[in-house]
Amino acid sequence: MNELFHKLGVEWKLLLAQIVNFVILLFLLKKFLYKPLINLMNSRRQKIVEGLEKAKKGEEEFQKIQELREKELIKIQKEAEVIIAKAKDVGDKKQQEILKEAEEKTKKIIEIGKGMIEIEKEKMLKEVRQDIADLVVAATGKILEEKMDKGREKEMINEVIKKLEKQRSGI
Amino acid sequence: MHISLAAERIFTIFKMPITNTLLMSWIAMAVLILISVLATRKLKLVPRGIQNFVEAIIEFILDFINQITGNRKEAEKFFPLVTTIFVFILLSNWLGLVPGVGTIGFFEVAHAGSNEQVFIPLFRSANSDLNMTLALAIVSVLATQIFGIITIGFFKHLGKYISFKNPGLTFAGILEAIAEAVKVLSFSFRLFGNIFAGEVLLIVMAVLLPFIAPLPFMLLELFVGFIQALIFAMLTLVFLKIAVSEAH
Repeated sequence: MNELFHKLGVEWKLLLAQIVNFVILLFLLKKFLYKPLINLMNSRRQKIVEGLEKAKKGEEEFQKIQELREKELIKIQKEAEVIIAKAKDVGDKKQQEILKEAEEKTKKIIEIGKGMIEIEKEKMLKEVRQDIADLVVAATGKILEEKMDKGREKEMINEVIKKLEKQRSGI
Repeated sequence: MHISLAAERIFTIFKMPITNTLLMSWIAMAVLILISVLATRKLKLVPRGIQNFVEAIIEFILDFINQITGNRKEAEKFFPLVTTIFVFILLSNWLGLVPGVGTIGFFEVAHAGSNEQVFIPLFRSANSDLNMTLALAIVSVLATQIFGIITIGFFKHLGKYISFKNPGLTFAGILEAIAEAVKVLSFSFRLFGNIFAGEVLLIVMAVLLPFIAPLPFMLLELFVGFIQALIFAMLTLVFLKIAVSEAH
C-alpha cells in the first residue's frame, strides 16, 4: 500500500501542505470575499424588498384616503341635500302661513270696514231723522208764528212734505 | 520525452519538499486572493466594475446551490466550501493550460551517478498531482462529516454508520462507512486521472505535431477542466445535502 502511494507520488508532507493550503484559502475567501459580498447582497435584497413594500403601503394608503374622501364627499352632498330639502319645507310652510295670515287680515279689515260703514250709515240716518224732526219742529213753529192764511198754510205743508220726500229719496 | 506520475521536486525548505504542482496551487491561491481583494476593496451597495462581476458569479452559484438544497439558509451554509472547491479546481486546471506551464523548466541528473539528464518543468497543473486531489477529497469528505455532526447531532450522525437496531441496518451502516472511504478515492482519482491524462495527451500531441494540431485538444482540456471542477463541486454539494438530512 505504502509503495503504491509512493509510486503515485503521494507524500504525506505534500498532502498535508495541500490540505492546509486549501483550508487557508477557504477561510480567506470566506472571510474576505463570500461573507462581505453575501451580506451586502442580502442587505440590498432586504432594502429592495423594504422599498417595494413601502411603495405598496403608500399606494394603499393613498387609495384609502381617496376612498375616504369620496365617501366623505358623498356624505356631505347627502347632508346638504337634506338640509336644502328641510329649508325648502320650512320656507313653504312659512309662505303658506304668511299667505293665510294675510288673507285673514284682509278679511278682518274688510269686515271692520263694512261694520264702520254700517255704523256711519246708522249715524247718518239718525242725524237725518234728527234734522227732519228739527225741520218739522222749526217749520211748525214758523207756521204757528206767522199764522199765515190758510191757503199759504196748505202750500207750506205741501212744500215741507215734498222736501222730506226729496230728502228720503236722496238718501 | 519523460512523463512522471509523481510531481517533480523543485527544491526543499526545512525538509519540506516543494514540488512544481505545489507552486501552481500557490499561484492559483494568489490569483483568487487577489481577485477577492480587488472585488471587496471598496464595497458599495450599488456595485460596479469587478465587484459587480464577482457578485454576479456569486449570485449565480448561490442560486444554483439553492436549487439543490431547496432552502436559502442551507445554500449559504454550503456555499463557501462548494464555491471554493469549484473556483480553485477550475482555476488550477485552466492555469495548467497556460503556455509555459510544463515547458519552462530545467534539466537535472536523473539518478545520482548517471549521466542521464531529465527535464524538470517548473510548473505543472496542480491537479495532475495526486497529493492535491487527495487533499481536496479529504477536505470534502471530512467537511460532509462535520456538517452532518453539526446539523443533526453527533450520535445521530454516527448512527448512520454504526447501528445495532437490526442486522440489516448494521450491514447498511458498514456499507455506508466503506462508501465514505471509497468517496475519497473516487474523488481524488477521478480528478487526478482526467487532468493527468490531459497533460500527457497535450505533451504527446506537442511532441508529435507541435503546430496547430494540439489546439483542438487544448479546447477539449479547457472543457474537461471545467467539467471536472463542476463534478467535484456538485458531488460535494450533494454529499453535504445528504449528510445534513436525517437518516431514514
